[in-house]
This record gives sequence, C-alpha cells and structure tokens, in this order.
Amino acid sequence: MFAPVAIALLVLVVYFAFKAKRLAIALEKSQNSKPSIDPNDTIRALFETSNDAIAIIDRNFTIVAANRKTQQEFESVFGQKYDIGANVLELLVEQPQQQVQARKLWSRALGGESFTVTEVFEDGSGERRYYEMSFSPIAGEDSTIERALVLTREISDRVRAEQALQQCNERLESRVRQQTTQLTETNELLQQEIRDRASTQSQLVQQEQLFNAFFQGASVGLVILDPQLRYLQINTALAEIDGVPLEEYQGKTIEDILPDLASTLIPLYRQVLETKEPISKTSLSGETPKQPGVVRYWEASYFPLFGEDENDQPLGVGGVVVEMSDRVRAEEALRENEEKFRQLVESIREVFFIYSADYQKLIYLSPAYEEIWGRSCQDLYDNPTRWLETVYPEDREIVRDELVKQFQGQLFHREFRILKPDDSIVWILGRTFWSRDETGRIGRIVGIAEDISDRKQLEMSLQRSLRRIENLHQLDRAVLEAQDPATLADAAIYNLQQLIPCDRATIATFDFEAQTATILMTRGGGEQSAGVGFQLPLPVFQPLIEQFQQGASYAIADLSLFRGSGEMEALQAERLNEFVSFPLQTEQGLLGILKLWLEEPKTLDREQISIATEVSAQIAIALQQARLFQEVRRYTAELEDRVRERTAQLQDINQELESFTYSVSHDLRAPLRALQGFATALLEDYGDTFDDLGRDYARRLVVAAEQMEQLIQDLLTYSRLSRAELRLNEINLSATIAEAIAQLETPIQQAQAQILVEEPIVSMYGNRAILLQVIANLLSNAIKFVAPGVQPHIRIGTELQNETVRLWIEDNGIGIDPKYSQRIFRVFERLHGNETYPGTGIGLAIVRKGMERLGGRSGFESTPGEGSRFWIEGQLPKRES
Amino acid sequence: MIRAFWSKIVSQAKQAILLVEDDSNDVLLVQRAFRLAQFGGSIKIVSDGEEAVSYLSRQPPYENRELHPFPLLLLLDLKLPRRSGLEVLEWLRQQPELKRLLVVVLTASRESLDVKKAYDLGVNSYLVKPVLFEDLVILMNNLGTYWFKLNENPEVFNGWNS
Repeated sequence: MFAPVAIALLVLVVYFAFKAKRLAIALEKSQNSKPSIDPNDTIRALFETSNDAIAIIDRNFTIVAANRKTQQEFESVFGQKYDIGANVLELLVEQPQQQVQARKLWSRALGGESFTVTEVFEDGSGERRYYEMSFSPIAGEDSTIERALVLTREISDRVRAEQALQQCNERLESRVRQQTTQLTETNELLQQEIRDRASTQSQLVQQEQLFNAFFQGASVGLVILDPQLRYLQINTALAEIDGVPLEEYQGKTIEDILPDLASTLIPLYRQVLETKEPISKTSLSGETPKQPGVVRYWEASYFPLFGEDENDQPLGVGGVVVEMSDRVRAEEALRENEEKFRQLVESIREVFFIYSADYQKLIYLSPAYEEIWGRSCQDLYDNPTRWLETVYPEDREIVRDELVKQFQGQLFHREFRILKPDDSIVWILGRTFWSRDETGRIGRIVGIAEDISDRKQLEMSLQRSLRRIENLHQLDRAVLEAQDPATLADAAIYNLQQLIPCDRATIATFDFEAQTATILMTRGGGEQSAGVGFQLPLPVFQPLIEQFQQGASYAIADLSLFRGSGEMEALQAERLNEFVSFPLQTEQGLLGILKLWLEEPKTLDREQISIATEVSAQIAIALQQARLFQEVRRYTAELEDRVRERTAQLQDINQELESFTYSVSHDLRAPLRALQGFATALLEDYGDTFDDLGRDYARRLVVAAEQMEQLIQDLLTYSRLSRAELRLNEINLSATIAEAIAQLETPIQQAQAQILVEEPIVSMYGNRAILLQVIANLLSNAIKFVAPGVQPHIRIGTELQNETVRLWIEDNGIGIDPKYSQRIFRVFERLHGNETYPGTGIGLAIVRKGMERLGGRSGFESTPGEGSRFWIEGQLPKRES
Repeated sequence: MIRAFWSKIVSQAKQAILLVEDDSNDVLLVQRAFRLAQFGGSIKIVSDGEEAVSYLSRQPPYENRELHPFPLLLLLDLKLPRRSGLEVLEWLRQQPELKRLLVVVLTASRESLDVKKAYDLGVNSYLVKPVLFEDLVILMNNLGTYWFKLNENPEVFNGWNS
C-alpha cells in the first residue's frame, strides 16, 4: 500500500536530483558567468520553497547547498542552525551516534550509490520524528563524484497513520479470529447433531432389519393380523406350514388362505380381540393346502397387539404356530414300540427288570419272574431287595461282591443259584446294564436274569466227561507203561476208583484149562480173606460166565449166588454183599472179570456203567497184550539162548578150521619145499649127469611145486578172508593202487604193460590189506589175459556214485563171454588151460569174497576179443567227527 | 672159570648158528642154502624143542663144547615135536643167562596169530620158509649179512667180559 508513494517519491527524487544537478551547474555558471537573468530561478524558487529538505554536501561533508526546509528541519531536530558551508560532521559533534550515521550515509552516496533510508530522530520535545532520506551522488564534468545530494522529507504523520492503521487492522483481525473460533465451534456442534441424527436413523433401520430377519428367520410360524383379521405380516415358517407362497398373503383374510381351518382359527382370533387376553398353547389340527387330505397338528398361541395404550382396542392379533405333526406321530410310534417291547419282554423266558439306580425301587419286572423264581411279581414290587434272600446261601457272598463292583461302575455279570420256595435249585445268569438318559446321566438299572440250569447241567456233565477222558487217558498210559499183568491191573483199579467210588474192586483172571479163577489184583475191603493170588474154582463164576457168553455187558450179582466158596463168607462178614461184574473180553475169549463191590449196585448210573465197561475193555486188551508181551519175551529169551548155543558151536568150528588151515599152511608146504628144493639141487648139483629129458623132468618138478605153492597161498588167502576180523577205515585208494602196481613190478615189466591211473582217485571205506589183494588180483588178471603179442593197456579209475565208490580196471584183453559172468567168481573156476594162462582159479573168488566182506560188490562188463572192465564197489568213507 | 671157558667157546664159534628143525628135508635144504650163501661159520642142528633146550643148557649129549658150540643165533621152527618153537622161545627168554640170545623164527606159517605170539615172546625176527630154493639162498645170505655184519649184537652173558 506504500509502493505507489515510494514510486512517486522516487520519481520526485530523480526529478529533483536532475534538477539539482542542473541547479548546481547553473549555480556554477552563475558564479562564473554571473548572468543576470537566470532561467533557473524558477527552479531555485522551487528548491527553496520545496516542502522537502534538500541539501548538497561535498566530499568534505561541507554543506554546499541546503534549502530552507532543510534548515528548518535541522533546527527542529537538532536544535541548532547551520549555514551553508558548515561541516555536517562538525555540526553533529555532540551527537556522536548521529555523526557516525551521517558519515556512513554520506560516504555511501559519495561512493556513487543512490539509495533511500528512513531515519528516526527524536526532537527536543522528545517526540519521535520519521524522515525519509534519499541520497544521490552528483558527478562533476569529469564524471568524478564531488558532491552528494540528500532529499529529506518528514514522514512522521504518515508513519503514525500507518501505525494507527496497523493497530486498527490488528484489532480487526483479532476480532475476526474470535468470530471464526465461535463459528467453528457452532459448526462442529451442528455436524455432531447431523451425525447423531444419521446414526439414530440407521439404528432404526437396523432394528427394523433385525426384526424382519428375526420374524422371517424364526423356525416357528409367526403371524400378525389386523382387527379385521387380514394378514398384516406372516413369516416364511408359517407360510411353509400352510403351504402358501409368502406373497399371496398380502391383504388377504384367513378365509381366503386357509378355508378349511378358518372355522377353527377365526373364533380364536375373535376371542383374543374381544377379551384382549392371550390364548396360550392351544392344540390345533386340520388340513392345509400343503398336504390336502392329511390331518396335521399344531400348537398355537395368540395374543393381542396394543398401541401405546393398552386400554385401547388392540391394533391386531399376533400368532405363534408350531408344527407338532411329527412329534404327535413319534409319540404314537413310541406307544406302539412300548407295547411291542412289553409283549416281547413278557413273552420271553428270561426275566427282564428295571430298577432305580439305587435298587430301592423296582420299576418293571417281567412275568417270567413268577415262573423262574416261583414267587409273585407283586412280592418283589413290594420288597424290591428281597431277591437277594432268594440267592442260594453259598452264592450270596459272590453276588454281593458283584453288586459292589456294579456300584463301582462295572457291569453285573454272574452265574449264581437261587432257591425256589419248594427248595429246588435254579442256576441263574444275571446281567445288568446302566441305562443312561439323554444327558448321559445314569438313570436306571436294566437287567436280565436267565435260567441256565440246563446249560449248567450240560457243563457239569461235560466236565465229568473230560475228567473221565482224562482218567481213561491216565489208565491208558498206566496200562501201556505196565509190562506185567499185575502192575497194569493195579493201575487200572486205582484209576477206576477215582471215577467210581466202590468198597472193593477186583480183577480176576480165568484159566479155562485148569478150571480156576485167580485174583490178579484187588483194592479195598476183603484183602485179608481174598487178596492177590487167591484162587477159587472157576465153576463158582459159571452163572456170570454164562450171562457174558450170551452177550451181557455187565451183571449184578448177590453173594448168595456163590455160596460154598470160602471167599464169599469172608467178604460177607465185611458186609460186601453185592457186586457188579464186567467181562474182560477179547477176540481170544473171556479172560476174566472186573468186580466192583457196592452197597447199592443199582445206584450205578449209566455213565458209570459205560466207564466201567470201557475200562474193562481196555484192561482186557492190555491183559492180552501183557500176556503176548510176556510170551514174546519168553520167545526172545529162548531165541537168545539158541543164538548163544549156535554161536558157541560156530566158534568151535571156527577154531577147528583155523587149526586145519594152520596145518595146511604149515604141513602141506613142507613136502613142496622139499620137492622144489631137491629138484633144484638135482639140476644144480647133478645137471651134468642128466640128459635133456632128465633135466626137463626135474624142471617140471620145480614148476609143479611152484604152482602148488601158489595154489596153497591163494587158498589160505581166501580162507583167511572169510574168517578174519576186519577193521574198517578210510582207505586212500590212490596209495593202494600204487602199492599193487609195485607188487606186480616183475610181471608188468615182462608184459611191457602200460597202466594209466585216472586221477583223481577217491577214498573208500574198507580194509587196506583186502583192497590191496583185490586190486592186485584184478590188475594181475588184466596183465595176464591178453592175446599173445598184445601189449596190455590198462586204465584204472574211480567214480563216486550215490552212497558208494566204484573203482574200475579196464583192459584190452581177450574179454570174457557173458555167459561165464557168474562162474568166474567161484573158487577154482578157470576158463583157460594152465598152459595158455596159468593160474589157480582163486584170484576172482578172492576179489568177490573180499568185497563181500567189505560190504561192497564186484562185477565186470566185457566184450570178448576187445577187453574187459572189472569193477568193485565199496562204501564212501564215513564222516566221523 | 665157567665164564672164561664160555668166552673161549664163543670166540671159537663166532658164527655158529643153531637150527631147530624137525623136517629132515628142510634141514638138508637149509644146510645147502647155508653153504651156497657162503655164510661162513658153522650150522648146528637139533630136531625138536626138547633137544634145543638141552643143547642150550649144556645137558647131555651136548656137554662137549667143541662139538656143540654156543650159537650166536637160534634159527627156530615153530611146529616142532615134543616142545614147540614158541615154548622154546618162552623158556629161553626166562633164562637170565640166555635171555638175550638172538632168535629168528624160520617157519612155514604165515598165520598172524603165530607172528604176534612170537613177537610177544620176544623174537628178534620172523621169517617164512620160501618155497623156491633160490629164495632160501637169498634169505640165508641176507640173514648172515644182517645179523653178523650189520647188527650190533648184545652180550649174551651180563658182565661176562668183566
């Protein structure tokens, strides 16, 4: 707002500056030229009369020019006058602050700067005066600044006006601020109110929505009718019950919608409208469009709907309808079920009962109780705990225990006996269960009591049977283990008495040849007079024997039947009067009888009789076996005697044979040695005196003797093979073959025989000496029996068969006709003349006999003219640890 | 005195053999073989067990030490009349002065029972009479070589030289 003033001032200052310069120039011109008429007088006048103070100073701060106004102002401010040519700084000596300020300002202007400042001075009266001062440099002709001009204008009024305006302004603004604050607050209050209203509005809407949701969502039927009984509102559930679409109700009456029910419903509504009293839970039934022809059931409540004032007429009627059809039907079904259950429970043989959880109240008891317990149901209804008294005294303890357990949460499950009023015993299986209600709380005790007497009897008889079987087994074992009749009879009676208690039990055996009966074993009374070994004439038992021979399986006998035998009187004295007897019968006939003495033989039941019969049969068989066993033993003993006898005989014979062999080996050879020795001596000592024939004879003597020696040697070997006791062990056949080859070194060399041993050679179980002899004999044959001029080629090998080892020797000899296959293994059997193939005919017999002694075999395969393959078979070496 | 006397006898008859053999054929054959084998020394013959015992115990008719020198080796047949070879052996081994005398059985028997018994009674060797004469010669030759050249023989009388 001060800008235009400033601009105006500036224009003015510039203008005056310009003028001032021209004035200065003029002044100078005037001083120099001193014109008379200065065209610039006007300007001077203006300068002098200007309302602004204008002053010019030079570089020495000397006032060069100043107008009147300047002097006035200076005086009013500084309280002194000055003259042109005065020094500013000097003027202000006494006001150092002003002096410094003046020097600073003037120096700036003299430095060439144009500027405007506002200065404040205090005048003599202490009033603050504001001046606006504009400084401008004034340049000389050479453009150097020699002077400066200042234009000063008091602006105190203006400043004060400005200050006043400013104050006024500030006051106004303050008030505006106040007003604004008030307005803002009001505004917020208003807005709050608007918000509150909006909120209330939405709550209302929400509540209506809630109400609608509740109304429509309710599972019971809800309806509102106006006093004219037109539908105002109805919910989905009721529309569903009615079976009418929701939108059809609008403005309709009950008659429109439910014609069949109108006559039932309308009076109810009217009653509510008239009495203004609600009708609570009334049962309705009828047909709806939903299921025409089907009667349905509901429970309905009706109540008047009032406005603000309950005394006014109701605005309408509200109704709540609940569908009851299913429940009504379920109740009917339940009643039916209960009836079925009752019929079932009352028709079964088991007693069914329901007690209260504390057993103090009997809620239900099925009529079977009367039959099983022999007591009236009413009796137990009256005294619910009395049933414990009916429990058989011995069983009460366990029943009580079981009851205690039941109260600890376990189930009652127990077999026990009860006593009926007629003192008969009935076996009961009692079982109870906790019956829980819907919440899982124990409500009642439900139970079944069952008459298990039949089953119990069956069990007991089964146990008896098992015991019986067990006893029979023991009897069997005893009988099997016993080797002599007395022991087995004892075992049989002992075990039988475990099954059938009797005063005396006896087994008597019959000897039909000797016509006697002997007590084999007896236990119980009468052992003194008629104990083991007691014998009596068989005819005493004739009446029984006859009965059994006619097929009777047992017979009851009174001792009076057997009068005359000493035994019977003695037994009678011990009051053993009657016995039951069972036959000990086998295929071989009647061996004896089993007698059981009893006080009352007729009390034996069927089972006991069948046990005794069974046992009798077993005893009979065992007796028969024992007899056979004894017989066998006797035979065995006889046989053993005979074997011993025979063995002794054989040993004798063997002994003789041995000494015979000894003689043969010793004595038969002596003449041979003489024959050979002297024939040799003849040839050697007297050969010269013999002619050729004589020498030939002598040589034949030598050869014959040698053959005889070989024969004797072989025979001895053969004989020794038969007799010698052999020690068998694992024989390394490879070594044995080598040994045999070494023995036959001379004949092998003579025949130029080639022998090939096919390794590997396995071991055989046998006797070294025999195997060596056998192999040597076979090898010797293989070398010997070749066609003249043929070099023997022999192969030896072994092979493993299942359990045996076979050694074979193959040659390229003359072969053997198969028809001689058996003969050649016999002693002295020869197929060739001694001239062709000399031999004793014992070699192969030794082979066969030797292998027989080793438990092996021997044989050959041959093609005459091509060769033979002889083999021997022995056992594999035994694997001994 | 006796020892000195026996010493002389033994040294004179260093290689004397006493053959106990009842078979005259065998006696002739052994004698011939003994000769052919160039055994050296002499061979004395007795024909049964009794005689053998008599000879060794210097009973008549064997008192003459010149004619019946003490043998270095007894060649004993087993099957002998009157007293068997085994009996002679058994007797001999029981005589303190004779028990170490070398005894070789020469018999026809190969029976293992005889062999076992002979060794049980302490025979030094057991030989079987070969049937072939040339074998007998070889046997006699080996016998001499073995017993008289190779074998270190015991002193028959204990402490005899002392």
